[in-house]
Amino acid sequence: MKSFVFCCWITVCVSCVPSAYKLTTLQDVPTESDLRRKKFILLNSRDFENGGRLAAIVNGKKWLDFDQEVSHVKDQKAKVFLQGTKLMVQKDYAGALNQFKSLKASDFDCQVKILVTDCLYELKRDTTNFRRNYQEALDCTTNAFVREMALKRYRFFKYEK
Amino acid sequence: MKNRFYVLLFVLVAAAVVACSPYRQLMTDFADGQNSLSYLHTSTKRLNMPKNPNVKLLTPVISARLGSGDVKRISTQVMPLIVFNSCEYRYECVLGRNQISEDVPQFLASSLREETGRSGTFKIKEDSAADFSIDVEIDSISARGPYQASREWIVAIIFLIHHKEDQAGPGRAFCSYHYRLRKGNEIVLDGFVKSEKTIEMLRPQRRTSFSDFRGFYRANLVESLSETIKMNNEKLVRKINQYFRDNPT
Repeated sequence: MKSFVFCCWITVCVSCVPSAYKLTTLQDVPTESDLRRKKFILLNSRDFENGGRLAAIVNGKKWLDFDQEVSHVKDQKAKVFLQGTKLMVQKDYAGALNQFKSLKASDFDCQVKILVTDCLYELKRDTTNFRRNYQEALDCTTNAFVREMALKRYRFFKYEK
Repeated sequence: MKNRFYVLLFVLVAAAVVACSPYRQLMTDFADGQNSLSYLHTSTKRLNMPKNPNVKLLTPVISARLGSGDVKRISTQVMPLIVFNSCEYRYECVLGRNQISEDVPQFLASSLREETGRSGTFKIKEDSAADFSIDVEIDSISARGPYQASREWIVAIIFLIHHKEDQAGPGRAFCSYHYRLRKGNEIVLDGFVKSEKTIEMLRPQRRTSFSDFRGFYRANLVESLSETIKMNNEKLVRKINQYFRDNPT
């Protein structure tokens, strides 16, 4: 009984650890300080009709609601992207990397390139040229926020290892 | 008897001031680590653009003095009031060559080459057959900023309350290049590019140790220096672009 309670307690503690990743729709534009503390993922209104709700669900780690909400998403690519981001928030970076394999690097304003590099970074794949990958993502995108994302990700890589 | 009491008090306060001084720890945390100058280029990438003429980039040199990273004592203020005591220490943190993971002239050469590849209307060529040559001299480079630490303690017979507070900044990074563009032996363009960046005041966040905070301050100074190099490279490429626009070859 004691070990069961202990296990439950550990599970609760682990699930309460804040994720490094946060989804945003830019309704509340993240401040410079937010951008330095969290790694944002953009759900823009062009690709995600119910982006605000999805972001709230993923950030709140309400996984039962997530499955229900994703089932309403019609676009297959958007579904895969959402599953990948969910796995990243759950810190299953190998699983997320596997999801992103079926997407093009330029998809979702070139965020896929950034997220794949993030996963490789989290998986400590030291053979990756992180600078080149983030630079390619920065050059590929036209979205100002995604450019900022690439710059901040490189900053995380460079200074917060 | 009274004199002895004052001597003892003086010794105690002096010992407390020395013991509370964060100098050694600051020296270790700030001066010992290394950070990288590398950055992501944000200039617009010109694709499929014919690049003419060829310019040979001579190995950049650094004439500015960039010594070792250092922490200099500025002042110490002590307020010994027996029960309530406080000390305030002020330092100047100076970034040095040993805190930068790259060799600065080599980094400048590679970053300038990359910047030219992105936004230049000319081409950097390594061989001596190039029509033009450019030499760049870093004549001023520095990143430094203040660091302040305050220590307070209250002595109340059976207990002691101790409070520590550190803050860093605002720091300042500065970099200046002297460049000369030559056509053969003739200098056709001679000038300076300068950039400066100020770092905002930093305070340790919750759950950040003082040691991490000091390392973070060093990283911020290196990052700002990297930003000034980036700005200088962009300015330099723009100036050379302008020269070739005004003087087509």
